[in-house]
Parts: sequence; structure tokens; C-alpha cells
Amino acid sequence: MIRRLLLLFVALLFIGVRGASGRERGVGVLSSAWPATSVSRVSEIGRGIGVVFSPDLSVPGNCRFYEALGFACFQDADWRRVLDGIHRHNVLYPERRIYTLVLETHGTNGNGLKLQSSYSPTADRSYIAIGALQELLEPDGINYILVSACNSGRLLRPYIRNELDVYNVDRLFLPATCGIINASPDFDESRSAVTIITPQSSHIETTLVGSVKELTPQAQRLIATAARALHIVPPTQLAVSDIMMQILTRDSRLQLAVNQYVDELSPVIQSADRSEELFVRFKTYVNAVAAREAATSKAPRRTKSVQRSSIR
Amino acid sequence: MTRARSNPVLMTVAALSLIFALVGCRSSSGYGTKTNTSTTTTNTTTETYTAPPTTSTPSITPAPATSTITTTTTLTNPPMAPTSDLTAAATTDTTAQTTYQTQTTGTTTSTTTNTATVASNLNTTGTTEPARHHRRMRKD
Repeated sequence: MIRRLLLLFVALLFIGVRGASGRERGVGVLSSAWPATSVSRVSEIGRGIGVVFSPDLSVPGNCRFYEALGFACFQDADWRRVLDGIHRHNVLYPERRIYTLVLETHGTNGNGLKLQSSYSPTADRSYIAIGALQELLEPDGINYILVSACNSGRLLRPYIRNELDVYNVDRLFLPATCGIINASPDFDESRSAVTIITPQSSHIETTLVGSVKELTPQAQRLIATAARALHIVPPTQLAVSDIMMQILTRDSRLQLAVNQYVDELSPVIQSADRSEELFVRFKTYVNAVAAREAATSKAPRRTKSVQRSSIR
Repeated sequence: MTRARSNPVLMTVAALSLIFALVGCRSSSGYGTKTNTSTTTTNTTTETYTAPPTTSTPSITPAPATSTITTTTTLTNPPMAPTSDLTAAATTDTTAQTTYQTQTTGTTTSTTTNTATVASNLNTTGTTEPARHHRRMRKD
């Protein structure tokens, strides 16, 4: 009897340790996918990171905001053009190559990654399977794909991972006017070098719309300077997801999963207050980087002026 | 010479009967009032019950089933104009490579208070302005 109890205890301990290591892996992978280095310049915040926006989850000039922050930004309703843009970016700009991609797209209740111009049935719209992304982005040097879409865990279900089910009865699965991209029949995801990262709990993700004017004048000025350096018009507004804000601010409540699928469809949505709270922290983060950049750029000037005065 | 003795039992009985009489009067008066009230309520309910045949039909008909769905769609996914212009943005590389950036020029037709707040924030020219409620979009 005692032996049985002991065995049960050991088994439970093993399960507990495995669960904890899974979570650790989720958090740990972020340090590889998006290292939490101390950024000293506003234009370096998104270095090495690409972000894909569904047009209807964006605002005018949104990509300009991300580009000013050092991200590579892709926004289109056609996955083919997005993939082409990523390929061209990494070929043409090796000094700014991206290795992690954040998908700010729809999840279609976990039935397919969707990009669309609007909810109109005739609007430009395309879908892609997770396996197809892994297969097509691996040659471009993408190592990590962070899926910030609703019920993203369901996208990794084995039966739709490589080929989407076009006969699903989900009302959000609107006509694919720009096509569907699936993985090749012989694609083996277990051999892929691309890691898929999703939130630990599958739920409804949200994006918040803010204004650049909400940042400090210092941050606004530095963002404008960074934009002009790229020959783009300084942005005025931005769309930022909860998960993006959590990553940037290294929110302790962020829990990620690696290559894990979920079956259940979740209606859970984070409260608006929580999003607002994250946005405040996001602004603080950008403002802090801007303050640091301003301080470091002033320091050499002071040193020079001191040197000049000593020469005199 | 014989003095009439007061019986304590009788005295208690008398006192108690007096108290009961007083209380009884009060309670009876209370009941009286309640009776009056009940009469009024009965009158009111009678009036209410006469109405149903005329009022019931229109009260059900005008409730449109679409109202809830439409509101939800508008709040979560504000319609964007399908027309989009492609703005060419020159890059630092002079050899070629023009990056195209999609810009949706449409206006949001959403009439929610959240949108109004965002719009007011954008229009104001100030330094740092705290927005209490930003527009949110669901990524479903």
C-alpha cells in the first residue's frame, strides 16, 4: 500500500515538473525569439522583428510607426504579397534582417490565419496554414513565429496545421477572395527549424488604437526623426496588440506555449481596463527609451564642450 | 372597620385586560388602514389588466433581432473602406527597391463613444494627452 502511494506521489511530481518545464520553455523561448536587451534608441526597439498586420486590424500609417521603431512591417490582405515582402526585406536589407515574425492577424476562431481588408464577403481576403508559414519562411531565415491571433492554439491542431479545412462551418471563415495557402503534402513540421509561439491560453486577442501624441514630446520628436531617416512620413497613430505590449514591457503575466495545440474554442476576452493598463505601460516603455536616447546623445556634446573649455 | 382588600390576581387580570384592550384597538386600527390600501391596489391592478390586448402586440414587434449583432460588429470590427492607395516610400538604397505601403484612407463609420474619444485625441494639438478609452479591435 505504502509502495503504491509512493509511486503515485512520484508520478504526480513528474507530471508537475513536466508542466512547469513546459511553461518555462514558453517563457524561455522569448529570450531567444526576442531578447530583452536594454534598448538605447527608439529606432532600435523592433530590431530583428517583423510584424504582419491584417489591414482591418490596422490604422492609416500604422506601418510607419513600426518602421520608425525599427520593425519591418508588412500589411496586406494577400498572404502571397506578405511572404514576398518578407523575402525581399531579408534579401535586400541584410543589416536589418528579421528572424522573428509577429502575426497581428485574425485567427478565424482557430480555423486559419486570416488577412482581410474588411468583413465584407467580397473584400480582399486570404488564409494560410501554420505549416505553410513554417515551410515558406524557413528559407528566408525566419526562426520564430509569434502568433497573436484569436484562439491561436487551435491553429496548431494536427488536422488543420498543414492544410486548412475549407468546409468548416465557422461564420468567420469568409470567402478566400485572394486564396488559401497550405503546406506541401510532404511537409514534415517536426523537422522545421521555425518555432511557433502562441499564448499559453487560447483566447480572443485584441488590438488597441492609440495616438503618437500620447507619448512625451521627446519620444514624438525621436520617432519623427527616425521616420525621416527612413524617408517616411512621421506617423500619427498606431495599432498595438495586447500581446505585443506584454512582450515589449516584459509583462510577468505573459505565458507562452511552444508548438502546442488546443482543441477548445475559447470566448474569453481580456477586459478593456487590462488593455488600457498595458497601453500605459507601453507608453512608459517607449518614453523611457526615448529619454535614454536623449540622455546618451547629450552626453558626448557635454564632454566635447568640457574639452573645448579646458583647451582654452 | 373591615377594609376591602384588593386581590392581586384580580388586579393583574384587570391590568392585562386593559393593556390588551389598548393594543387591540391599535392593531385593529392598523388593519383598518391596510384594508384601505389593499382596496387601492386592487383598483390599480384591475386597470393594468384591462390594457394587454392593445399593448402586447406592438411591444413585441418593434424589437429588431439585428440590433445586437450590428452593434457588436460595429464595435469590434469597424468597417474600413475597401479602397486603398499605395504610397511609394523611397528607401535609403538608391539602386532600386521601392517599398510599398498600404494605407487605408477610409473613414470609420463607427459611432461608438470609444471612436469619438480617439478622434478627439487625434484632433487635439497638445503635448501628452491621456486617452481613457481607446478603440479596441477583436482579432477573431
